Amino acid sequence: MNIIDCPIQTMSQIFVIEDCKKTDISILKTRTRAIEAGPAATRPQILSFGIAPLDAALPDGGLGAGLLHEVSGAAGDAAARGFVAALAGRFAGARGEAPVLWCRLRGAGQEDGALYGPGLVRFGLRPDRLLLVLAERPAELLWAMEEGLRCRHLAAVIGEGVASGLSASRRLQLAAGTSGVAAFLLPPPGGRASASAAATRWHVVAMPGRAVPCWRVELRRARGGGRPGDWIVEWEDAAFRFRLAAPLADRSLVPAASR
Amino acid sequence: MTAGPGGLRLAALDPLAAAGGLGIGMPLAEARALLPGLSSAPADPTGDAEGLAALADWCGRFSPWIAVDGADGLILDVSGLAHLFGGEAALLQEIGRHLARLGLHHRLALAGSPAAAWAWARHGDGGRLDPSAGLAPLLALPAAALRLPAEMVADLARLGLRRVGDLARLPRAPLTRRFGLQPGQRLDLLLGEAMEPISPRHPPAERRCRIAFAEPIGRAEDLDVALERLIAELCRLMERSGLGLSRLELVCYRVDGATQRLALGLAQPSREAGHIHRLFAAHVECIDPGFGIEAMILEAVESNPLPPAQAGLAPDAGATRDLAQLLDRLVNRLSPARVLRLLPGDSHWPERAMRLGPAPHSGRQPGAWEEEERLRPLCLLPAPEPIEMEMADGEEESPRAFRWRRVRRLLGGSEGPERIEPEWWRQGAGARARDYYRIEDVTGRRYWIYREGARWYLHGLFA
Repeated sequence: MNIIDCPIQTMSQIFVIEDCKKTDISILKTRTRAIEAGPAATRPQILSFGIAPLDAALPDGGLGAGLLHEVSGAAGDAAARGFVAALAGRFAGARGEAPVLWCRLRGAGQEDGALYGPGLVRFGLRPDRLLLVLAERPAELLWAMEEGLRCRHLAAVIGEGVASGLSASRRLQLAAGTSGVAAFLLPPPGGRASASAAATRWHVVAMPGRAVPCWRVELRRARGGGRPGDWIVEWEDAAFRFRLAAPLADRSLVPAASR
Repeated sequence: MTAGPGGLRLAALDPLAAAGGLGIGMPLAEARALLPGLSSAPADPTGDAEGLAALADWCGRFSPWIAVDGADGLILDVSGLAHLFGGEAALLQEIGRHLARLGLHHRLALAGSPAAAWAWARHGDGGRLDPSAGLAPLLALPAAALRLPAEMVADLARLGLRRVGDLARLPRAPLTRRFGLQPGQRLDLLLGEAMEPISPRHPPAERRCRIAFAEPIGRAEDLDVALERLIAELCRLMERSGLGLSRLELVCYRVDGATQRLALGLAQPSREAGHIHRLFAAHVECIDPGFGIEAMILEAVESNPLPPAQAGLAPDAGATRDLAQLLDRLVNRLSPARVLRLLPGDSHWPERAMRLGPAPHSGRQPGAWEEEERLRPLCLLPAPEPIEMEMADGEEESPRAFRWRRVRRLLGGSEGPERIEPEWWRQGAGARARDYYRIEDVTGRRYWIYREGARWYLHGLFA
C-alpha cells in the first residue's frame, strides 16, 4: 500500500495517517479508502451499535454514514421501521439534531399505517426534526432521496416502500458517499430481494416475550468483509441505545435460536 | 345580438356594419333589411368579459398597471414608461400594431387623466391628446364624453347643453342643484381638476425585469436562456436593495395574445440566481409557447430583507440555507402538500394527538413534542380496523386469539386497559370512551387495540 501517493489535502489527514501507522492496518485501509474517495467523504462517520458481537460483524466496527443500508421486514410488523427510526435517531443525535428526511411511497405503507409522532419519540427520533415526503411513484421517491442525500446537513435519509434495483441503489450509494449522509431503504415487505448496491442488508422482525421493543436482527450481507449473522436485540428507550437480549448476552457469538 | 323588446336586437357592431347605417339597439329584422348580407351571432357577455380580462393580462407587457374598464375598455397607466418604447406616440403605435395583428378593432387614446383618455377614445379623435393644445379639444367634445347616464345627457341636451364646454362655463351651484353632484365631479375628472385612482387587476410588483424578443421564441432552450438572464438581473436588483426573493412570478406574452404564468415560492428569501434558476428550470416545460413568445416579465411578488452574505462567519447559516434550498427543490417538484412535518396535536385523543403540517420554512420550529409517558405505537392505522376477539372456552373476559385482516393470531400477552375519554366538546355526545390494550401475539408482534362498548378495534402497531 502506497500511502504517500494518496491525495493529501490537509494537515489533519496527514495526522490521521501517522496516527494510524501506529495502530491498526485495517483502520488505515479504511482511512485511505476515504481519502481516495474525495474530500467530502474523509472521516466517514461510524455509528456503533454498542453491542460487541454486532459491531464486530460489520467491517467498519459499526454502521457507516455515507452508505446505503437496506432493512427489510414483515407485513403487519413495525419492527423494521422501529429499527430504522432508532438508527436514524442515533445518527441525528451524533450530528447535533440534524433533520431526518423520511420519504414514503404513498399507498405503499398504507396497510401498516402512518408514522405516529407520539410513538416516534421513544426511538430517539424527534418528530420536530423529521421531514416527511409523500411520493406518488417510485421514481419520485428515489429522486427525493437523492436530492436529500446531496444535502450534507441532514442526519439520515430514509426511503420506504420501494425496492431500489441495482442502478437506482448505486445512484443512492453515490449520493450518500459524496455527502456523508446515512441512507436507509425499507423495501415493501414480502418482496423478493432484488439486486442492490447497498452496503449492508438487514432483516428485522419482532420477537416475543419482552416488554421493551425486542427484535431479531439479521445481518444478511455486509460489503467489505462483514460476517452475516443474527442477534436478538432490545431497544432501551430510556437510554436511547441497543442492548443484547439478556438470556443470550453470555453466548453472543452464537446465532440466536430460531423461533 | 341580444333579446330585447320586440325580438332580437343588435348589441355590438363592427366598423363595417356601423358604416352601413346600423346602430346598437336596432331590431335584427330591421338591420337585415338594411344589410341583407349581415352575419350575426348571439351576444356572449361572459365570454366577452373573459376575453377582455385575458387581453388585460396580455397588456401587462406594456404596463404593470392595468384596469378593466366597463365591458369593453382597458385602462393602462403608462406614466414614466413610454420612453422604454421610444416615446408616447411610438408606444401607441406599438399597441395598435399588436391589437390589429390579433384582429381586434380598437380605439386608442393617450391623455393626462383616465377620464380624458376615455372621452378622447370614445368621443374624440383618438390617438395622443396633444398637451400643448390645452383643454380646448376636451371642451369641444359632446356632453356624453362626461360618461353620464344616457337620460341625463338627453336632459342636458334639452337645455341646450350639448358640449363639455357648455357645462364647464356654467356656474357649478345651479348645475349641482338641478342634476346632482355627478356632472360636476365628472367634469373635474375630465379636465384634470380631480384625481381618479385606477385599481389594477394584479397589483404590480415593485421589482420586475422585462425582456422582449425581436423574433418570437419557442424552443425550450431559448426560453431557458432568457429566463436565466431575467433571474440574474432580478437578483442583482434585489442585492442592491438588500432584499431576498420569497415569491416570484414569470409571465410569458405569446404572439397570439395569451399569457402563460409560472409562480414560484421559496422556503427562505434568496437571491441566488443559480438556485432560483434550477427551481424554475423544472417547470419551464410547462410553458406552452404556442406560436412563439414575444416578451417575458419576471416579477418579485414578495420580497423580504436579506442582509448581504458574510461567507465563513456563521457555519450555521450555510446549513440553514442548504436545508431551505433542499426544501425548495422538494416542494417545487412535489407540491407543498407532499412535503410535511409532524406537529403535536394538542389533544389526548389518539387520532388528534398528531397532525401533518407544511414543512418548516426555516430552522427549528417551536414544536412542543413531549416525551409521552404512556406507550404509544410507532404506526397508527389511517382508521381503526374492527377485529374479532376469540375468548377462551367458558370464560367471558380472557381472550385467546383475535382475527385481523382474515388472519387468526394467537395471543401471547396483554397489558392494559388504558381508558381514553372522548373530548365531548369536540366530538359531541355520540362519542364513547375507549379502553386501550397493548397486546402481543405469539410471534412477538405488538398491537394497539381498543374496546368500544362490545366491539374491538385494532388501531396501531408497536415496533
